[in-house]
Amino acid sequence: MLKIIVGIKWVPDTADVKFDPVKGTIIREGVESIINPPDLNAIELALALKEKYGGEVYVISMSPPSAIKGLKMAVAMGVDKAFLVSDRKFAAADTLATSYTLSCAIKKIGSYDLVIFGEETIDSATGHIGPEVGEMLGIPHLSYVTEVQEVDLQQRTIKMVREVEDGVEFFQANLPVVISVGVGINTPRYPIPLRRLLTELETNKYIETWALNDIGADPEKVGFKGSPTRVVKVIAAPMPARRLEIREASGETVKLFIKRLKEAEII
Amino acid sequence: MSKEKFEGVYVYIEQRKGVIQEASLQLLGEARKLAEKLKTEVSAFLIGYQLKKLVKEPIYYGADKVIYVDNKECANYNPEIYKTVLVQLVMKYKPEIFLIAGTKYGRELAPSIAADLETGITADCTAFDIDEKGNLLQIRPPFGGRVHAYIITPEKRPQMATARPNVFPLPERNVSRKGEIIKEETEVSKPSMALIKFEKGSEAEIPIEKAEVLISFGRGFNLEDAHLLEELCDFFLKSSISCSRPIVDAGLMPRSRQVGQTGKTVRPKLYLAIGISGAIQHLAGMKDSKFIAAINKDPNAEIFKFCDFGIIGDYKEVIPLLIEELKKKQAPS
Repeated sequence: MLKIIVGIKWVPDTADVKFDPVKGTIIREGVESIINPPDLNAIELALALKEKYGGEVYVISMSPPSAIKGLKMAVAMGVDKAFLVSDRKFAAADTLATSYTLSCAIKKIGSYDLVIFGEETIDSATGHIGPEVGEMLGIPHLSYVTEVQEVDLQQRTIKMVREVEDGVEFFQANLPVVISVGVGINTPRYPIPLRRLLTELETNKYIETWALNDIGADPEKVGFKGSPTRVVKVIAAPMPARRLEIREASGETVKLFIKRLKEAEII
Repeated sequence: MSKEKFEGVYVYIEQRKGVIQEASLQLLGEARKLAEKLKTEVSAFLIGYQLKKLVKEPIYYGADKVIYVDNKECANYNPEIYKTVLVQLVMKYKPEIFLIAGTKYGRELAPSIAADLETGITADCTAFDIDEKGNLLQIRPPFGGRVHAYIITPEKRPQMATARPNVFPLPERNVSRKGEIIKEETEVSKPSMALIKFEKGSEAEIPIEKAEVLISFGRGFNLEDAHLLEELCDFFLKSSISCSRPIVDAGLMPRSRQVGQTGKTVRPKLYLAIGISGAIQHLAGMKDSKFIAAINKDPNAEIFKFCDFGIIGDYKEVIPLLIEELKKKQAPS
């Protein structure tokens, strides 16, 4: 029996995000939200491990209440239970405060063998949460995991494979561990229509909402107050100006292209 | 940890199997600039086993001091062990700024150290500065690089950040530079996680971040035509083949060849994007290339809003024409 907790984030689809140059803020209104893509791979890995070894898969998310849509989707994929960790006091948290909050929620769930996160989110892309949560839970963490080769429930060990710049590493660790996985390690399954219906009908049975007090978190360590970093300003990123010489394909165009490459001293 | 008594700019110098990673040496140049503004020193932390040959290298690249731990347990990178050692070094030396190159190991190590020390950390910075209060300004590009966020860590110390590799230039190696070298012993307890095997990747070609010419392809390219890319590549010295994310996600190329926000940052002399639509996440990884060219069938492809030379057409026709012209140039006249 494996008890697996998957952390997910409900994120604005960055392909749609617009920037307000006057206010200097991201326009989130009207932008569709999705489950952060690698988090779907994390859910898939958890469900596949459950199928192989038996057990339970729980999902947690520190989000505003709107994330319930994402949690319902996770339950419809086959997750046993989802926890929405939501409180006004959690707002404007940086990664340290977020990881603290998540680690409190994980401790509240109690026993677990494996915690899985998506490697990074498409909005902030820090890759911090996995390592930070591992640290706060006092257990090892491994990023960039591509495969869980074997779980030995008797010995309570896990064998993992991961990719780094110059090769592939094979690790063995004692359970429990925290791992982070990237997009492309597997193909996330689709939500099951029947389960989707059940989730809608009996939302309270599948999804629990926890506030600050429920997870026993220190109010000084969550949200804006608990965040050591401060965003001073956000500005539109200047893209270097380009020549924008766009031509239809032809022999002449190719000749002109070669000429430009020569001028730029590339050939 | 509170602010008092924290001083100096420190850089973690990452070595793998006895080779110092260039990305961490790049940071020494940036650390020097910050240290000059703060009127303080640049120090380097170095961890590994049998480091004799390496300990002076950070001095040659701009460090004033090297603090190193030479321990058999540190022979291979293990996130648990390296974190424990670095936390002990930070507690002892109390840096006000601690920078780590955003390699895969660095991006894993830095947040675990920050969490242990309960300090702030900013990921993948592309620029640094010092604000009027003496805080480190950590500038990073979230949302696929469409914005730049300026971040500070006003109270906690050290101020930690990782930096994107290949954004900062490599300082010149000067073997006449002198500095202090300190050997440290730290406690290393038996880890609960161990590396059991390493398989080196089979990379015959030059890594994409080192190539001067990148022939890059995306979803609009059929790999059955791969010979076209290779032929094209052969016309340029120091050239290599890279790709966009969907290619890697489909398992067609290794992640080490991926350009973009979730891949590598590259800045070659020529970036030729073939069948790449130009998603913002992709542009984030190649926008600083000297010359960007694109071949795409779709005249509305985003890449055409962001290139120096764009050819609207089928690559199957354009590349052979290009090869023909390049052959003519090569032939002695």
